[in-house]
Amino acid sequence: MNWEVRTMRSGTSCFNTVYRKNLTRFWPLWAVYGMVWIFIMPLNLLQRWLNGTRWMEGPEMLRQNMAEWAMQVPQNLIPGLCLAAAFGVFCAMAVFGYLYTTRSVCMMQALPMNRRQLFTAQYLGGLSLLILPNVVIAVLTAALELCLLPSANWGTALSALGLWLAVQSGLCLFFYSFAVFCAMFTGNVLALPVFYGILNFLVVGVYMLVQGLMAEFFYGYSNRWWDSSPAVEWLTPFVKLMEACVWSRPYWADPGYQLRSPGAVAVYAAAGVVLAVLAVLVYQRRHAESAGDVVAIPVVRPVFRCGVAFCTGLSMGIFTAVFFGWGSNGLPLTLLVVLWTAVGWFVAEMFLRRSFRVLGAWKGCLVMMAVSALLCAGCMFDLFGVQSRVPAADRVESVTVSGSMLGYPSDGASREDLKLTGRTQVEKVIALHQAVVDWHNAGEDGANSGKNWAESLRVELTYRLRGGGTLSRSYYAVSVYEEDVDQPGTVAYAQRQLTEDRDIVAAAYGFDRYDLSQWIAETWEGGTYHADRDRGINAYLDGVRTMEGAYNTVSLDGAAGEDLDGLWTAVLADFKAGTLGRRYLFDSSDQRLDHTCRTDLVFEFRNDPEEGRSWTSVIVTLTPDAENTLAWLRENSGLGTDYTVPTYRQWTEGEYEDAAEKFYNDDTAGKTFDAATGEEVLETIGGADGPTAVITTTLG
Amino acid sequence: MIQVNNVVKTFDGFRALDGLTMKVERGSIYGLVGPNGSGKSTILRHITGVYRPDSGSVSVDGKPVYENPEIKARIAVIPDELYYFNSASTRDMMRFYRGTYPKFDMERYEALRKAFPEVDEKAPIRRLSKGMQKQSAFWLALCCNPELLVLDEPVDGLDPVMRRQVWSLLMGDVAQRGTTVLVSSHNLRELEDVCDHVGILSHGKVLLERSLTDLQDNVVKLQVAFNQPELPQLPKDMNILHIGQLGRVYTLIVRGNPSEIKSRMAAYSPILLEALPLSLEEIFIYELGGEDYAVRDIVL
Repeated sequence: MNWEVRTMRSGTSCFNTVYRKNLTRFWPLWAVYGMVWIFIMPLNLLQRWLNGTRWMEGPEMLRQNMAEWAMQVPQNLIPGLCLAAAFGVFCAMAVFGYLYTTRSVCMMQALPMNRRQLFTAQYLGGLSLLILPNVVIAVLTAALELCLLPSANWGTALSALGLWLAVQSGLCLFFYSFAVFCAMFTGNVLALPVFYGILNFLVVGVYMLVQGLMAEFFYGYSNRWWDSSPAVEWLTPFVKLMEACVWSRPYWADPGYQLRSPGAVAVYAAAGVVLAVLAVLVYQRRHAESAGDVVAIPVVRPVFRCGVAFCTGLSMGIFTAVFFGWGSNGLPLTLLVVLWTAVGWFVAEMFLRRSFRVLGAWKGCLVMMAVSALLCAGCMFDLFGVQSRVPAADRVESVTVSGSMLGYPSDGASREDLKLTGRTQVEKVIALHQAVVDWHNAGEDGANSGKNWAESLRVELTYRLRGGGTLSRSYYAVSVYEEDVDQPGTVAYAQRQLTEDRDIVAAAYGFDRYDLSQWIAETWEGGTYHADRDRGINAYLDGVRTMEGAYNTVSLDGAAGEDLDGLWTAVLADFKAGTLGRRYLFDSSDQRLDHTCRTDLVFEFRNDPEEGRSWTSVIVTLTPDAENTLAWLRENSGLGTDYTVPTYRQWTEGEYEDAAEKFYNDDTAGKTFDAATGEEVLETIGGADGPTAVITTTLG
Repeated sequence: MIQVNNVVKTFDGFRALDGLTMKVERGSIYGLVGPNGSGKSTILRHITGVYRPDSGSVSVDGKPVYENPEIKARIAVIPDELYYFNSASTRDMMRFYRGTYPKFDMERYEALRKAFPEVDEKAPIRRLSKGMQKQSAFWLALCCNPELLVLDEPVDGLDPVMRRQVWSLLMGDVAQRGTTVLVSSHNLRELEDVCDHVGILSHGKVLLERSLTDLQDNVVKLQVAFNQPELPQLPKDMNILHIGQLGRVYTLIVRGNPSEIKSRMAAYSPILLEALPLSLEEIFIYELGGEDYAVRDIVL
């Protein structure tokens, strides 16, 4: 037999041998992984069935519960995601661990295979450690389901199980391929899980650091790292997949259980294939002698060095500045960032050289420090106009503002964020934004000089710009002066324009969004949820004064469901008349004290399909001028007979009087006072013939 | 069989191989000797297809070794530091090699059990002594029926009896199967007994490469004594590598044809003139002495 034929046969045999060797060598991995799944899936199903036979009332209920559980199998994808992420890197460490010592790499790469064949055998071997257990678990679970479920439920149960298998295998494919990709760039087995973990969260981490730095440098810059761009989310696979793998069933939805984002899982599975292809390309170019190096690919070393220096500079620089309370001070922050950049540079150099003698790399360090200093200087002097940036109205698609900008009273209008899309409304918000920026730029000696401080305002804005971008700003403790209310260009004037816009206020309360007829609630009957329109709305008064003088909550539950239509209509009529829902800039102004009540009227709505929440509410502070609302309350809920709704002034003044009286009564009750000195007698020591000693304290 | 042309290999700026060129004839036993760090293991890893040269070429039977499964299937290697899978026994590794090397011979495996009677083939290799591990490696390597056997410090750790056993097996393979053996070792005495070709490496280059006979025929050790105590003025074209003196007897290491040098020396009428062959160790020491690699007299 000639060499070509023999070698061709040998290639297949060699591949099979190496592939099989992985399965036999690393059996603890698939055994542990499979064992965890056995307990999560088939044994769990069996355990439920056994318990059900003992405790459930009748076989029908047991069958229903088993069917429901079988439908919930893909809920195990969340723990499955964690398992895939952990075992993905374990498998990569196992099958490509030979790359990390000279002895093993010399043995493996001397085998009669080329790099691509060897990689493929190892890669598939490692992947099989995860996929094969998945298949076995699915088969076992399917067998149990076929035994324990009625045949009518087989279809839905098996399709749910099939979906679990597909998604779990996709997750394993992605995380394992990602770990293998990382494995190609290092020659150190301990560095692999570290790189893998860091790269999983690198993008969001860097995003947070940059956001943190900008938030420290720029007044009002919003560090909304949790509200990151889609690109950041996609490049943070663990978080994105955690969200995508949610398996849930909205109570009101017909299709039943749904995977939140099957497309995202498919994209990541495809990315896994791409990463595997990239990994084999890197593997073919990787030098065997890199075993033991922290970074095995020479061209990646500068990237590693700069990356470590950059991240160390930002993270430790910001941390140290905040630790010493220098966060908002640009120069110390800059110096600290530059200093920590140098530290990071040398630390990276230590890893690369595997030596503590790294000061010889000072030239590169100086360059990196200079870059870091330039970055910080650019931020400090706002070279890019970040701090003063206010978008033009025609570039804004919508703006979300914090309810606090709508002043007082502190009811539903001021508690939640509000999204505005109308051109006029957006312009008013922009005017307020510009006024805040101007106020800050004017500084303490400018806008504030000679004015009496009146109110502190929190302004939070998020613009959604045309073209897809967002711009967020958060300003805290913005001073609002009473003298400026009629002065265009001031914060007070701009805020007043917002609070007097009835459309904005209506939107803030939610008057424009809610239609009573659409509200439904769920009731649990016969093991499932049912829609119940009558019980979807509830209303109550919070903070009414009872005839006994106590402040209580009065439920309007007796008038549930459609009976509350009248109250809702009355509220809308009062709001339209301007007698309800008026906003005030200053909490202690006479208008505010005399024209708002201590009492809030609360409507609770259950299940809001639009908002995706299980409940929502509209809270409006009552006013003494809200004729229609008060009339409804007098007629239907005992206003005037059982309770009253005092104004803020009445409440505060009454409370002060009551509090003073109560304090005196509580303070003197049960106590004795020395007649001569007026001091409280704490203790008397002595016999029947009179006190030997009297311990006292002075009252008040 | 093996042709290495101008191979350069650099590790983090260190030039481990500096234009190394060497040639190994089919069926020969080629001894690779050189001081520590001269690049012996590095060139062996190139020849087994593990390392990729920065420049130059390494070919076996005219075909490049790197990324060439066909060629690698004909090579077996015993590295200086053995590697085997965790908890794997000799039998386990045999199964692995049987699946990977096309010419793996099970009959030979059974036959060679007699040659390595002390090796417990079912015991994990990591539990065996260093010498036993080496025996296990030889056992498996010989069963692969390689055309080229690459050995890096192969008998290190073996007892004298087993060394002789192993060399005997290797010589038998060379004689009966035409196996080519490339062996790197510091045990020059042993290499001298088995090698027919020798290459001396220094600083990543082959300093000289010849058959052992040629090598020994090209250098001669003369022991001479004259009537006068001093050495007479010898001709400048006589390539003297080393001069030693013990009483009135001088020892000269001279490069060149031994008989020619002896006759030239006879012209000075020495009272004692004797030409002795050099051992490989002596050749190694005196050749590398010219490369600034000599034993230094250090007073501590």
